[in-house]
Amino acid sequence: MPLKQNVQNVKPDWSQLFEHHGDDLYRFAYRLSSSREIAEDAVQECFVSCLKSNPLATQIRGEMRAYLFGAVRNQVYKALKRNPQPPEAKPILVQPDQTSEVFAALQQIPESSREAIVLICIEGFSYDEAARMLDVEPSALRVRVHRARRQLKEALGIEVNSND
Amino acid sequence: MTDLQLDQALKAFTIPPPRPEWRHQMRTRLRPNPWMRRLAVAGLAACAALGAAFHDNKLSELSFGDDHKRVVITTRVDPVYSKFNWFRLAGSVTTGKDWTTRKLYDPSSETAFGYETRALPLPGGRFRLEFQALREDPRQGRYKTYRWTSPDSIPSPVDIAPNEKTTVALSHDGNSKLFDELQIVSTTEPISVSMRKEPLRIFNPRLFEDGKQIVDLKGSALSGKAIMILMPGEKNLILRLDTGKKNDYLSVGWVEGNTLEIDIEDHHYRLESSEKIGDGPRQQVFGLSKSNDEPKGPVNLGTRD
Repeated sequence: MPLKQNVQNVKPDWSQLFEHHGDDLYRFAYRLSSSREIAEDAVQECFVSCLKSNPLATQIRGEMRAYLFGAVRNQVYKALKRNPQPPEAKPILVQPDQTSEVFAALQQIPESSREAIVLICIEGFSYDEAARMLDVEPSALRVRVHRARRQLKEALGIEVNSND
Repeated sequence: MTDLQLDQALKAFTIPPPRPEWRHQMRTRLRPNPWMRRLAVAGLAACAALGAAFHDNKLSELSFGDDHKRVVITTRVDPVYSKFNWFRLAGSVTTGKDWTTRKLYDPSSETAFGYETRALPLPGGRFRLEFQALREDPRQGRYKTYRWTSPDSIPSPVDIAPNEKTTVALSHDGNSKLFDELQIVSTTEPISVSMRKEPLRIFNPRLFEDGKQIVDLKGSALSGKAIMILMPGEKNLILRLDTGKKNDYLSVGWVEGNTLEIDIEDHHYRLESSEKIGDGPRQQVFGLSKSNDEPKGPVNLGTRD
């Protein structure tokens, strides 16, 4: 749901935003960290920071959803920095099939590639939105996503075309 | 596998859901209730000050002691997800000649609670930790009442070895509890590792006001993110190197080597330490003056988060 609060001079309703985006943010954090604990903490700390600064909606650049994803991303990396070996370093393989292999491969590629492919290919952000979030040029992000796909395939043992 | 299949496989992976209690806690805390929000905001400010850690029930850590032993007080919550309940608290430790006062402040109810403690050396390298009630007159001061919320009694003395831990219950709210974990770090090094981490460290402090010595705490040491000069009945000066988002602090002076010098409210204060106070060569000091309506008493030093 595209919340247009960013064009109104009001305080965002964090409760409502959690209801709309909480699950997506949690899943995003989990994909980056492969840890339920870090994912829960990252979302909690994101809203903690938002409540603390409680910015006006007009002070938030871009869409609220992108703002929250960016905040959660920062919290995940803070947590990973503090705990390089998260408690659930290996993903919980609830599906012994190809999807779990792909997810496991996702955890093996570099962070910059992982966040690029998650934001674009899973969360559905536009290149412009995700580029703003990651503070890179859209063209650089395209390269990252392309590289991430190749790295994923390599991690999965899939032959990669030299043209890829 | 095509790019499309790869993307579909990525999306199809089922993420383990968050714990139901997490979702419940988040909803409760974010509910648009003005009182709750005020509480949360106050708590969040304290949270930033306390530097809450991930995957840890630790809220804050303070220490006091001398060259031979330091008592490290770690405030913790149980369960870990109840940090939200206690973020509103700010803590302080005020070292005295004999007893050290440990207080926690709850701005929402304008109360302070805590205890006084001291560590006495025992034969064999052990220490006895003794506790007593806060001595402030409960009718005095900005914080109207001092209270023990749990338990309603002062802990008995406890004998512990260096690095052994003991806990003091502080408060509970039905679903969670707050407690201090006390550990004595005995070291032959003059500064313990935990003290080195703090931005401001004062050893054998001596404080001068307009050239006249008003505090001499030889044998004591304190460290923290902020140093407090406590002037009962007059004012408290809170001094920091980094104000974060606190915009009510003003640049009042400098810390260089073993000396911290500030000018505030027409007075010049010089705080001397037997060892280097900060980390940098010369750092700016930011200060804030708050009224202190406690009964008149001797000037003291303290630390806070």
